[in-house]
Order: sequence, then structure tokens, then C-alpha cells
Amino acid sequence: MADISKDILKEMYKRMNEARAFEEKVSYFFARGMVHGTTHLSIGQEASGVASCMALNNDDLITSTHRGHSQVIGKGIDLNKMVAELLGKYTGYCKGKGGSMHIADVDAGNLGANGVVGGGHGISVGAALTQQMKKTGKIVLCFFGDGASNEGSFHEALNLASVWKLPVIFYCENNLYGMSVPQGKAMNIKDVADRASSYGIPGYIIDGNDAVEVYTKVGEVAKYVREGNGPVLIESKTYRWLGHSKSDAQIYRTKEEVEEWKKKCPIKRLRSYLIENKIMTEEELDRIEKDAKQAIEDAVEFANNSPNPPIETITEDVYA
Amino acid sequence: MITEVIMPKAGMDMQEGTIVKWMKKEGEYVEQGEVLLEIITDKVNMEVEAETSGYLLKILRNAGEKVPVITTIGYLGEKDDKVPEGEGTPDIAEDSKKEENEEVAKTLYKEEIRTVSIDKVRATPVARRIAREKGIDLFNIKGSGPKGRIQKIDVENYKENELKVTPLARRIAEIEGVDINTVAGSGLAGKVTKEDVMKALGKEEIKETKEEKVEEENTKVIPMSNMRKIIAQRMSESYFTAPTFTLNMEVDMEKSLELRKEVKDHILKETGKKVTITDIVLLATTKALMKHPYVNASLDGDNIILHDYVNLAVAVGLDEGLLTPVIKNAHKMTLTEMVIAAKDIQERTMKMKLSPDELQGSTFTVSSLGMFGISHFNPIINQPNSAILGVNAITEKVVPIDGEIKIKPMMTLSLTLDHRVIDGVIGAKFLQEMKYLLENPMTMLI
Amino acid sequence: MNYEMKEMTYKDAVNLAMREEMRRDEEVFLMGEDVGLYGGAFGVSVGMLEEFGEDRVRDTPISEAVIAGAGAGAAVTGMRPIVEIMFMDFTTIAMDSLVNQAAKMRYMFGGKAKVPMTLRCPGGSGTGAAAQHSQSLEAWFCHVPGLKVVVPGTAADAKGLLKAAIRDDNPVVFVEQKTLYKEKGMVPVDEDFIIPLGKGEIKKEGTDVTVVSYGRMLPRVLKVAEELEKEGISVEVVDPRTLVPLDKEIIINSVIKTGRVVLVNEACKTGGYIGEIASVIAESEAFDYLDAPILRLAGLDVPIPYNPELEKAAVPSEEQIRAGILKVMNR
Repeated sequence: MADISKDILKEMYKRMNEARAFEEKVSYFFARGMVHGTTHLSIGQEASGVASCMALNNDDLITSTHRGHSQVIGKGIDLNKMVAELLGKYTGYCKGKGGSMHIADVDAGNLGANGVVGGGHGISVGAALTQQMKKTGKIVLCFFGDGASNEGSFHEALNLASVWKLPVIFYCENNLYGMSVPQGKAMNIKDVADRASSYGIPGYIIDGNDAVEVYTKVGEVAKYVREGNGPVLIESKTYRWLGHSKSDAQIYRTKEEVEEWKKKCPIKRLRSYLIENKIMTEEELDRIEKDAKQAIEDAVEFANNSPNPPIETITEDVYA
Repeated sequence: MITEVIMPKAGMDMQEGTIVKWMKKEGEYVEQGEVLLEIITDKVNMEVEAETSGYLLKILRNAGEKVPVITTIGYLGEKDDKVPEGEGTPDIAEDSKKEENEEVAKTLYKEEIRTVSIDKVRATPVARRIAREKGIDLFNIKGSGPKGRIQKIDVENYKENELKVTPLARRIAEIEGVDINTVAGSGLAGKVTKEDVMKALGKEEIKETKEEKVEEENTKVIPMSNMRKIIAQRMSESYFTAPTFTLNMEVDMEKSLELRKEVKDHILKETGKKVTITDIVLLATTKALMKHPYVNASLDGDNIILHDYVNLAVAVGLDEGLLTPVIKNAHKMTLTEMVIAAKDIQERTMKMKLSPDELQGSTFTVSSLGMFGISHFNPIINQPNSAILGVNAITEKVVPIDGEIKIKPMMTLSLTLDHRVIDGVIGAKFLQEMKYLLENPMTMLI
Repeated sequence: MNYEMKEMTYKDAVNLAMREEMRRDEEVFLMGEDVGLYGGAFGVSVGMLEEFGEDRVRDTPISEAVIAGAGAGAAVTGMRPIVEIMFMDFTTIAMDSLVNQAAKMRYMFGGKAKVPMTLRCPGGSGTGAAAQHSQSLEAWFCHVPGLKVVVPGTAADAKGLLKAAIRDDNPVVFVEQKTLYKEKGMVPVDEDFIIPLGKGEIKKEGTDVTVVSYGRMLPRVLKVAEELEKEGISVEVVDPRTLVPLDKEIIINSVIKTGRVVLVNEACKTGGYIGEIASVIAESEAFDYLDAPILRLAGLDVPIPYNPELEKAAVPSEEQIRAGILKVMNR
């Protein structure tokens, strides 16, 4: 049994359930045309996103991705502001101007989700440079996907971070598909972690659906990176249950494959762990699940009661 | 709890989807996440999963139906739940500020709208502005810039007493190599007109000289000018949409001619303009229109719009086509005012110096071919008007009056009507009114 | 306030501006390819490594995307990076970092971020470096809301504008002119000599015709203007200096005064920034004062060729500028 306090495990379970409830709500809204544009849901990836962020210090930084809802909930976020942003409300994190793909909270260390695959690589390196130059002791965790590891920015960022020994964890959530293209058709290696060796940095593979493993490994790596040993690449193997975006009919994978992965549900897995190790009771866990759903409902109510951004704000904040 | 099944919005550009197949029958139980139906979006086939577990209580839309997104297509719930009557409305947050926002949005993109005059003088913006401010007609100024462009300096050096020439006269003089300074002007204030240049050339009609140049049996392809294209389009539209009929009525113009004779000198002294029979007909038309509002009506879709004013369009033939400038508020005019207004708008039309709004907003149109000796014709309605009056030539005719044979100056009025708006009786009554007014013209002056 | 002026080159003015700002503010640092020991491909940062050390004058790998991306990341977390891209042509590789990330962060995040980074890059032809090392791509950046774009044409402007760019809280693309690096000019030595972004300057007053120009074309325009003055044509030369934000007022007022305007830049004519300036004039109050069509003199729509004669012919020459001004004057 891993050495993680009950409080942390409880919070982790709560945030993972909030992430699940959040995504289900987004799906519901999207189908009703209340979330416009597109949205990328992270159902199935909750452990990977939540437990990794929880292994960081509160004031550490992250760069997030277009499939970033679990990540930013893991970092600790005001659900009201997040739902409001998704519904394009003025009270949202970005005053209704960013939407699903640009949830950011710079003051709290969330440097933003990114609509560009691989767009966070350079930003995370620069953010890590700031920490190094200012000797803040903080580190940066850069989320990206298996697909983004084929971008040129991946190479440039890992190389520079390694050369300058920057405090950054490159955290690859490998969910096996870059939109519709399976990993095997997009790279000739089985593990993205293998790429670490070409930058002279450590590369680790973890089971991204096991919250306990994610938390433990990211914690170890964070300590190593914080000590000034340079960047590390972690590959978190996971799976998205839903399509790439809401318009995806998923003809590139079988129902059986999806069902297989649903059996590895990260939330059920953490629940079993907590019960088997007698850390928490069924009742306690049920209560958390119920509270998580309620928290989302409350956030929805907050968002629905929030105003739309006044049209005059359209030209605000282009420049500082 | 009852939950509506909706046509999901599966993609940012999806507007509607087609139901391919329901996987469950009414009354069957479905688990959350189980496939409930299959749909086709504009892109692909997709399976729609049940959002909650429950019995499929009702199918509102069947396979094959195309349904807009977010429409309720069925209901899930417990066995004893009551299905709402009619189609449920989707739960969408109202955007109360939408209209207000649209208003603000308009102000963000507001553009300055300028009235552009349709003259065709080559002049710089500053030359135009100064001319406008000083009330100088750019047509009278010779440009010293490239391609004869009028520049600021040309306007500043312009003196009012300079030679006045109509643009057409200037063009003909240029083409034919006539020194315009040697031509005596016969127009207003000694303005040199086309006729003056033709006289100087020893030619009466430029058209004839041009036609002579065209060899026989040769065909010439002339691309339609923009004006021609607009006329073609508007006339075709009118001709093919309005079911029309034309009524003709003969009018004895003796008293109108007498009236003209009587007031002619007075009006000339007053305004410097000659009163014509057309002016008297125009005046009669406005009076008659005010009594027969349907003849003065506009058709807008299924609505007939009646006007309590008369904006009278007058067809003016030009070398390159036809324009119908509008005399606004003609119903308020006396004969003198009508003479001034009609002359002014005709002159400016000939010079192509109308503002776009002077070509819009007519309620009725008069087209006169009398000066060409036409005895009657079927004018085409100038839409959205519902009628048009054709004015023909006055010819002396033998007319039996009280058993005696008399010779009278007779004129036919040809009224074309849109049968969707006006029936024959109304048209006939309007013509009777016209006939009465023109045969008793003094009543118009009371 | 120190009123002293000192003669120095455009390049030294850029160097001095960077040094002054790095001395003043610890958060300012320089990174780029070969900016350290080598002193930059054009020697602009010579001596800076010695003064500030490797931590603040950083040689990077040849990685334009991450140089610009790391600039944005450092800026959004509290530093004020000066990022050098060796040639303006290579900004193409840094485009995502600049256009999708740096320019939009503040807006996307609802005003809760600022990105005080300056991206310096030398642009322009005239060095025989051919098509991939000679472009003037400033219009690309002007088209992206969130970026500011500066193109200094004199040594003094280079110093005052670069200091303003570094102190600005927005991403600024600072386009230096390779062929002006060695041009000398009088430069104020005061450490707070700042030229605000968005403020143009009348480089020469005149009454008959306005010429708007910036960057490398500016000295040519000024030379022609002086010659024409002797021939009785009074040319007013306006340098916007900053393209975004643009000092519309100074341009419009000058055109209202003269009624005639010629626009000159080195960049390709199609889609070039002087086309935007022409539109600004045509839409403004100045329209009603125009006494001749607006004339653009710009580079040909060709990649910059290698042969020296061809290279020269690709951008407006003094003769062409002279002829253009005379044409607008109907002379």
C-alpha cells in the first residue's frame, strides 16, 4: 500500500468524480446546443489528469491541453467559474472569451489549456526558465498527448529544457489515438517515453488509469526535478472513452475495445483500492460521489444565473 | 422522472439530423449509455446513447424523419410517468440581452453612409468638396490634371461667367473637332447645348450621321450598359409578375390648351420656364390620384400599401436608356410649382445629376410619348407602383357634338393597371376623373 | 534628465537600449541563436555576455519555435524576455508561438495575463543573402491583433523605441533593418529616453506633398526630399515608426495639409502595410482634401533575387521615389 494520506486520497476521489460529472454535464449541454464550438471530453482519463496535478505543490504551474478538463480540475479550480466559461458567461475564468479550449488561471499557476496541439511545449519551457532564473523553487508540468509528441515543438522544447536543466515535467497522456489515427500509424515506437533518451533525460511509463501510481510516480519525479536535475518525460497510458470531439462517430475503433477500457475505469479502480485497504467506507465514497454531482449542479446554476459578457467587452484586453 | 430524448447537436455546424433507426420499441427498457437510436448527421452515421436509464415511453419522430437539432424526439421515464402533451421545449437558457447586444454590435461596425451623386466628372476629392461648398457645377470646369482630371486649382480659378456647356455638347464638340468657344449657346443663360453644336456642324441629328457609318447587312454586338441591364431586369420582372391590362380613353384637350395659352406668359415671367401640356396632365394626375388611392398604391408581397401622398415618377428617355426620376410630394403642388419641379428634374436627369434617392420612392408613373406622335400604347408598370399612365399625342379629330361635326384636339390616355391590386372599374373611374379634370382644367386651379 | 546627444550607429543604439534596460530591470534578459559569445549574427549584442553573464545573455539551440514559445512562457510568468530571431525570415518557424500563443493569451484568458516580450529580428534586403534571408514580413504581424509592430528607421528611434518595447506589457515584434545597422545618427544618451509606441514623427516638414515611409526606405525618401526642395517642391516626410499601433493622426493631418500623398516601403506591394495606410487615409477626413490619387511605391511581388542588380531592382530606388513624387505633383 502506497503512503498517501487519507485526506489526499479523499480529495483525489472527489476531484476525479467532479471531473467525470463535469464532462457528463458538458456532453449534455453540447447535445442541446448550449455549449457552442466544439469540446473534447476526458472521460476515462480522470486519474491521469487529477492525480498528476495533485502530486504537485499548490503553487507549481501547469500548461494544459484541449482535452484538459480533468487536468485543471485536478489542479484545483473554482467549478463555478469553469462551468460559466464553458457556457460563455462573463463570470467565467476568461470572461466568456476563451471557452473550453482556453481555460486558464495564470495567478493559480494554470497557464492555460491550448487549442494548438503541442502549443504548450514552448510556454512550459519559458515558464520553467522563469522559475530557474528567479529561483522560486517551483516546477512546471506540461501536459500533452501522444499526438503532440510528433510535433516539432516537442523536440525543440525537450531539447532546450534538457540543455538548460529546466524544472519541467513533460507529461504525455497517451490515449492511443491522435483524433482518429492510432498511435501505431503515427510513430514507429510503442512507448513515447523512449523518446526521452534522445534528449538525455529520464523517461518513465505509468498506468494512467491508476490514480495511486500516477500520484506516487509524479511525486517522485517532481522531487527530482525540483532539485535541479533537469526535465523528465512521463508517459501516462490511458484511454478516452468518448470520441475525439462531439462530432466523432468513432469508426476507427471497435466497441469491444472501448468496452475493455471502460472496465479499467479509473474512478472504480480508486474506489476499490480505498475499500480494499479499508481507507474509506462505501458510505463515505457514495457521499463524495453525490457531493461531486451536486457541486456540478450548483456550478451550473451559478453559470445559468450569470450574465453574458457585454458586447462592449469585445474589444477589451486585446492589449495590456 | 421523465426525460426527453432529443436530436443531439453533434458538431458545431450541425443544424439537423435524420433518424435512421430506433434500437428500442416504445415500452422497452434502456440502460444509461445503451444505444437508443441511430442518426445521420450531415457528415456521418452516429449512435445516440440513452442519457439516463428508463423505459422508452414514447417515440415522437420516426425513422426517416429529418429533425432540427435539440428537438424532442421521444421520452424516457418510469412506467407510470405521464408523457407531456405536444412536443417538449428544450431547456435552453434565454439570452435576454440578445437584442440589446445586436444594437450595440451595430454601433461597433457603424459605417458612414455617403450619398454619392451619379455624375461622371473626373475630379479629385478636394476639387469635389470645394465645388460642393461653393455650389459650382463641376461639369462647367475644365480639368488641368492628367486625363482632364479637375483639381483643386481648377475649381479655385473657375469664374462663374465662364462658358457654360452641357456635357453632351462638350463630348460631341470634342469628337467632331468643333471649337466650343465659337458656338453660340441657346440654352438657359446662354448655355451651349447639343443642338447648338449640331447646328454649328451643319447636322441636325447626330444619330443619323452615326447610322450612316454602319454598313448595311452588318450586325453589331453591343454589350448592355449597366443602365440597360437594370432596365432589362426591372421591365422583365414587372412584365412577368404583374397581370396587366390597359384602358384607353380619349380626352378633349381644347380647354387645357386654352388654359396653357392663358397662363403661359405669366408663368414664364414668374419662373423662366415654359408651361407644357405635360405639366397640366401631371397636375391632373396628382389630383385624380388623391381621389383614387388604389391607383396610387404599392404592392409589397401580400400587402397593398396605400399612400396619402403622391410621389410622381416621370419617365425620361436618354440616349443610353430610360430613367424615372421622382417628383416628391407632387400632390401639394400648384401648376407653377409643378412646372418648376418637372423642368428641374428633367434637366438634371438629362445631365445625369440625380442623387440616388431621387430615383426611388415613387407611387405612380407617367410616361409621355405624345411629342413623337404616338396615338396609344401599353406602358409597362414601374414596380412597386400598381399602375402607369401613358400620355399620347394631341391630334385634331372630327368629333360629332350635339349632331354637329366639330374638329377637336383629342388626346388618348393609356392607363396600364396591375390586376392584382386594381380592377377595371377603379381604373375606368380614375380615367373618367382625368377626363373631367382635363376638360374642365379651371377646376384644378380652385 | 540628460540632454546630451551622442553620435552612434543604429546597431550600437539597439545594443545600448538593451543594456540600459537590463541594468535597470533584473527581469529583462536576452536569448537567441549566437547572441552570447559571438555577439549576434550582426554583432548587435557584442559585449553583453561579458557585462551580464550567461544567465541573462543566453545562447539557444537553433530552435526558433521554442525560442519564441519560451519567450511567451517566461513573459507570462513574470520575466521580460528579449528574444532574437536571427533573420526575420525565420519567424516563420516561430509563428505558432507568436501568433497563436503570445498574441492571444491575454484576450483568451479574459485579460488575466500579460506577455511583456520583445521579439527582435532584422529584416530587409540589400545584403546579397537572397530569398530566405531578405524579406520584409512586417505586414504579417500587423494583421494579428495582440501584437505590436515597430520598425525604426534611425539610430535614435531604434534606441527610444526598443526601450519602450521592452517596457511594454505586450508582445512586440521589433523589426531592425540590416542595411541600417551601420548608419550613424545622433542619439540621446538619457537612460529614460523613451519613444512611446504609436507615436509617429515628421522627419521633414513640407507643404506640397506628403511621403509616408519607414525603415530602410526612410533615408532614401529623405534624400530625395532634400533634392526636390531645391527644385521648388516642398515634401513632408512622415515616419509612423510604429506600425501597430499606428499614429493615424499624424498621417491624416499631413495629408490634409498637402493634399497629395506617396507611400513608400520595401515590402512586396500586394498585401503590404502601406496598402493599409492608404485605406486609413481614404477612409478619413483627409479624403476630401486629396488632390491626386494615393500612390504606393513598394517592392516588386517577387522573392528577393541574388544577383546584385536584380536585388536592387526589387525594391524602390531613389530614382523611383523621385519619379513617384513628381507624378503625384503632375510634374
